Amino acid sequence: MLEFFNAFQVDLLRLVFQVVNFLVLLYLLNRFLFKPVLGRLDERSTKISKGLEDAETAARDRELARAEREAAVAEARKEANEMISRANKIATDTRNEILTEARAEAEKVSTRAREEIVGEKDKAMAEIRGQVAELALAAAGKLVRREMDDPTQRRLVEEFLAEVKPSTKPSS
Amino acid sequence: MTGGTNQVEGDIAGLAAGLAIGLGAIGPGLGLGLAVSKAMEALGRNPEAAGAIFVPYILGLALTEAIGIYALVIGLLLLFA
Amino acid sequence: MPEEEGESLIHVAIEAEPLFDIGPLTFTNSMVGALLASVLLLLAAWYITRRSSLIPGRMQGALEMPIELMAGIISTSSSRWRSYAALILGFFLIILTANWVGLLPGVGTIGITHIDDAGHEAVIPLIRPASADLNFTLGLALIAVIMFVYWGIRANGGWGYLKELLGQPIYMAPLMFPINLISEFSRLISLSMRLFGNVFAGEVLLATMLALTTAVVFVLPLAFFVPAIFLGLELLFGLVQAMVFALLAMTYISTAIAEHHSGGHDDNHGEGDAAHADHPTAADAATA
Repeated sequence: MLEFFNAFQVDLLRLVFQVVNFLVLLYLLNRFLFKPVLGRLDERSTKISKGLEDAETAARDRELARAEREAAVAEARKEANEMISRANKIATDTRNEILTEARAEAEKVSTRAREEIVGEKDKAMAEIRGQVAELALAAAGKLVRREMDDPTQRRLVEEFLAEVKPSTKPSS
Repeated sequence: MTGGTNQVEGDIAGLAAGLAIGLGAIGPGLGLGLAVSKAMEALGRNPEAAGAIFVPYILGLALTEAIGIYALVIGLLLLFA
Repeated sequence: MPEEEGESLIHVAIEAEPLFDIGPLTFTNSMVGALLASVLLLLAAWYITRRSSLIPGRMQGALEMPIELMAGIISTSSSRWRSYAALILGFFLIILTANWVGLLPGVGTIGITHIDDAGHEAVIPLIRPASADLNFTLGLALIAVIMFVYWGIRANGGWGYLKELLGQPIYMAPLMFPINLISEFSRLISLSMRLFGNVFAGEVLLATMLALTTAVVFVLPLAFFVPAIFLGLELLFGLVQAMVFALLAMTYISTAIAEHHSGGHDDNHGEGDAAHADHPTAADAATA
């Protein structure tokens, strides 16, 4: 075994030199390089994972906001629809009301006008009848040249007119 | 070999060293070829496994190659010891 | 000797060559390589931490990339990765830098001319990649083995660790104990020899290619691209070997720690689990 190592010039002092060299280097590297670099790697990986997490929460928030907005829009639309339908209903109701009112008014106006017309006509008829009776009386008096006492004449004429009335009525 | 005390012995040592490394390289050569072929096959079937295969692959190659290195050591010993 | 002349062109020494002596310590060129790698690493560390910002610039990103790559792998190995992350990262970075230092121009070629004992003139390179020296790789492997044995003992206690070495059916202990002991020891050898062998072989390969192409470059100018290809290949191998060493050390340590985890809940059940968990790794190491 010793011969084996001798063939490759293994020497205890040289071996120790290499080992010491490596250990010193390892100490220095560990102190100045590995700790910061490994720490930085850790930091970087945590930062990346944190970034991913942040992105995820942001996406979730966005999704939430979107859903909220959509809900709000739907709510608004529903409300608007409701409002429109209510307004429509109110409008039709008012229209119907107005229409019926107007119709009633028109009816009232027309009936009143008819009543007035009838009243006028009756009044005119009565007046005409009075005048006709007087004219007939005067004409009759002139014809008979005799004056009759007023109450009997008048009763006679009125009886006559009452007989005549049915024939005159359709003409009016 | 040193000092020319025995010329013949030095020549035979050279021959022995050549034979040692030449014959000793056959086994590891076949082994390495097998290992690489299987690794490539695995990689072809499942390319995502590259990371998982890598370390065992390198270690397997190193352990196979060690046999060739032993042959080299014997050759060196024959030549220089 | 006829072969000496061939070797003068392809000069790669198997061992680190001594440059000068400081007291009892012979200073070798691989020590220069190790120190250079350390200095480069510390410079990079200084650059990274100088303006430490969360969003890295291009340079900082490039320097942090291997650390992040390794840290990513380490962090998936077990839940208590923070306790051994620094050690594994240190292994990875020092081996990576040591490997790549060997590919810098001038390393291995610039050196001191030296007349050896046989009277031949040879160049001793001033810098040698530290991982092409068994002292360096053995030192790292020793640290790794000591650490995982330490964690194994801390996880199961001294007796528990010994019982694991003895094996599951106690009557098999005379057979299993030496095997397990050798398997633990072989981790040390396989870890160090694997790295050393790969890097050294890479150096030899590069030197050979360079020697071959310099011989033919007057005929084929394009031949200069040949070593460049191998240089790129060595760049990749340097990374892979650094990773292999670090990952193996990580697996050994994380299994040792994982045993501690299950052992903490329930003593009896936990030890059974630990023994089960140890079997694959022991088998792995035995084949290694």
